[in-house]
Amino acid sequence: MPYFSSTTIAKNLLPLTQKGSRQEIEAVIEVLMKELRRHKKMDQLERIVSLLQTYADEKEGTVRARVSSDAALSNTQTKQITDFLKGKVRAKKIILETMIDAEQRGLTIQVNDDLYDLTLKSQLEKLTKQLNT
Amino acid sequence: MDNYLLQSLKEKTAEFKRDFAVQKTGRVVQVMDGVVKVQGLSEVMNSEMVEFENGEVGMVLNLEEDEVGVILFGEAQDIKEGQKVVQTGRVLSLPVGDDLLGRIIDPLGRPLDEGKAIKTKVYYPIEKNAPGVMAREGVHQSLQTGIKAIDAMVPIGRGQRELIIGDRQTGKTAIAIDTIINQKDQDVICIYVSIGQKESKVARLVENLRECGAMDYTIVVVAGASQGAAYSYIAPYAGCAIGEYFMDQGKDVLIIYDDLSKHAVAYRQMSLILRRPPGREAYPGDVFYLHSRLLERAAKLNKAHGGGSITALPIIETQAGDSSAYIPTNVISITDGQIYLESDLFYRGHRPAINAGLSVSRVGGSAQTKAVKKVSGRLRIDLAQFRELEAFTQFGSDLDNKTREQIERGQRATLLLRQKQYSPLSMEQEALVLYALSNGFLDDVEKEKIGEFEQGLLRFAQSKKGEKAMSLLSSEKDWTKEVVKAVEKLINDYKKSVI
Repeated sequence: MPYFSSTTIAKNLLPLTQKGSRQEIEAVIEVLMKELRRHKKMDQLERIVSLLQTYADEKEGTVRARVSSDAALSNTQTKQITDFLKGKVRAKKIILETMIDAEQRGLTIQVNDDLYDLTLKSQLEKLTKQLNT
Repeated sequence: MDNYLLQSLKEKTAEFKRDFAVQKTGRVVQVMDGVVKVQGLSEVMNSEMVEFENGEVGMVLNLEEDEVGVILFGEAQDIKEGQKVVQTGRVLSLPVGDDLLGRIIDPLGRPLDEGKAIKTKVYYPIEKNAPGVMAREGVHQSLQTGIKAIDAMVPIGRGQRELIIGDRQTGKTAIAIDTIINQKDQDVICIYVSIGQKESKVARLVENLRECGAMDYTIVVVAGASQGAAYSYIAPYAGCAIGEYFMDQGKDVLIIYDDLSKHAVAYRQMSLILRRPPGREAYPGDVFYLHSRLLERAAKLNKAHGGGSITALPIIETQAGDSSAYIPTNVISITDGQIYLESDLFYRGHRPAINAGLSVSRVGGSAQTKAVKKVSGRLRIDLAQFRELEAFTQFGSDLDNKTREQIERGQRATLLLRQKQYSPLSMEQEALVLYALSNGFLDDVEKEKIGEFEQGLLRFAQSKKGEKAMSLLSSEKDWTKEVVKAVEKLINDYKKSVI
């Protein structure tokens, strides 16, 4: 069996995860693991799972955003970020996955490949560039 | 002063807006030799520049379903799996302008010569479509190399592509450098692109150009042997982009690509790492396109498009004289002629070691001044006949008069066409010397003294006694009765002075 890309595998697994029975799903996963081992592509597993999650979210109209900040977010801040993202992405539901990075000053929001960089570092870099022109 | 500084700072900070733009990002998944695989970058374009976390820059070359292949301009040591990669939204381009004249830069436009920072606001893309058919006109203006053998038998015109091909150490770069030196006061901007060459060689070359005053109108683009394949890959395109800026201003440009064999090897290396299918000699299938799209950008534009030109002198190194190998045949079929250098001729003392039989210029006489054209017409035929008969020279007295004459003529022509490095001749000097040869003025000069005679004649021509004839030749650029009379008098006067 030829090896398919992670994207192709994830797209083909999606309908199965939504409509297939438990037995069917387990059978497919066994074949998938066997093929990944055979083609020495086990390192792709994480990517396949991540893509599967992305496609499932797309189908349900859910957007996941990874928010990194130097301190825990308050309820007000969480609401502000959610409202901000509602203006940027089309989604029925926005899920914020927060993480704390004590060394960072400010906020970053990652939605798929889009990064909103609101850190102090990026603002200072921008100011430096402006002062140098 | 303090108030001015304060005021200036206030103005700049007042303009500052605390906003942000969304960055398109990806993540490093694999680092190989000069190539990085990135996941994400969902909207990246082909040939777009991307930035890594350590500040290094790369260019997207492979767009695959799962990941993007990026060639890296810089060190891969600080790049780790999982690091962020950001799209810039710009295709690869470099700064161009008059500021580059006299400078040594890398293919990204960064100075390598410890001079001032290059301040230019104009950027040209490295990859660009060649001028179309309707924007061009025929090559009709001569580009003098200052090398007798080339200007007489393989003349080059502005807007032509003429390949210089030969084994290692046959004088390929020497021809290119002499051509650059001869462009002094000719209104031609020169660009020397060094691809994968030793940096000591480039340093020596720059020093020679500086001594001859050629750096004032020359730009040197260096992708050294110690730099990655990515630099070697984009170096010729970068040089061409710089040339296009000047061509668009209506100026004439000469670009030397030294050499395209190393360019093909660098591209092969990157393609194999990117897992592109290998073809003949393991080169990727589009290796012809690699060079054709580069060399097609050399052109002579018509007046409606500014009338500028780019003349390209690509260099190809052959192995054991094999010009039928893959890359040499590719480039021969793209260019408008080739100058073929042979090791055999080189070691026999014939320098430049040009094989007149295999060398050709498809532009030919339309790129030659009339003065040189009229006196070099028989030269190729004489040399061709001499080559056929050369083996009989050992028979000496057993040959008939006609054969002996042909051999004599060929030997004299061969000796006369020898020329020292860094000694390019002007059009008038070449015409004078070739006139003397083709009209029998050298028939009574001993063969061993041809070189000495030539040097003496040129010195005599430069003195007050030769001023009138040379000035006439320079202004008329043709053999009118007046010019012929003056030149013949000059040669005869010189001959009398040496007897």
